[in-house]
Amino acid sequence: MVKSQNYKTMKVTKKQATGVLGTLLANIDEKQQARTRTKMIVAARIEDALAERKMNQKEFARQMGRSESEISSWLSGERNFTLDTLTDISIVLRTNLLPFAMDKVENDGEVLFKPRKTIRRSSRELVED
Amino acid sequence: MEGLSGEMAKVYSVTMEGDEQTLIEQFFNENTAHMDDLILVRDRIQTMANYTGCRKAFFKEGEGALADGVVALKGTGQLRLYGIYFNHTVVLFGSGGYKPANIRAYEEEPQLNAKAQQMREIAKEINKRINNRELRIEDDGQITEL
Repeated sequence: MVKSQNYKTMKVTKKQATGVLGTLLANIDEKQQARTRTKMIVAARIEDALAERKMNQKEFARQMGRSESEISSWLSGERNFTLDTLTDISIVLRTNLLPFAMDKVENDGEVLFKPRKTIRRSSRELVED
Repeated sequence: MEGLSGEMAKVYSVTMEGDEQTLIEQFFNENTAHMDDLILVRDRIQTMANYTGCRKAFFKEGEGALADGVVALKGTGQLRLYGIYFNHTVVLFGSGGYKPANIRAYEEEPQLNAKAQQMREIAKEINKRINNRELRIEDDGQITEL
């Protein structure tokens, strides 16, 4: 039951979370949170790439051969993408979602993705590159 | 709410008259039977606040009357958390609850319907105050009283 409330006063204040929320904020499983975060960041990157390409979801769905509702689900940040799907999206949107596996190359205004050839032997090589 | 707000977005909730805890704190206290989903709620809010901003795609619209800004957070399993979406830098969360899988719309579940209705009333009040220039939303998502 919703109590009827007096909305006469409304103040904006800062507050530290208490109760179950406070406990959950103090106890975070790093790996679990990172999994959620990664999915959402990838979704955000896809959305940004759509905006950069001035492509709407309908056209993106058509080029990917998927339904619009599936695209909507991709952008919700819940999806655990396969590498194959990320590769396909990178090519369609000309954005590199797999920088450890692909290099973006521009040739006469055309964007291409080439597989990364270099094999890193040590972390020092990575820094000097 | 400290701990939920971040560099990319500010997260607010509401404390109703006579209560000590905000609606979002009460939501967490009331739904401990769904701890995995509560963790998803926490993680999604913190990701928006610190990394991605509040993207509209992360919310389900149409939870309130047209254009009142009432939304539900997506990706939270069987839990529904209602809020008001202002822009990518600020969101205000109220309460919500468990939506059984066999329920198609929140109107069919009385407790959930009550929480959605409460959010609609709060949205109406806040939007009124913004239109009357009693409250302002800054570029960084801070809500200030005028």
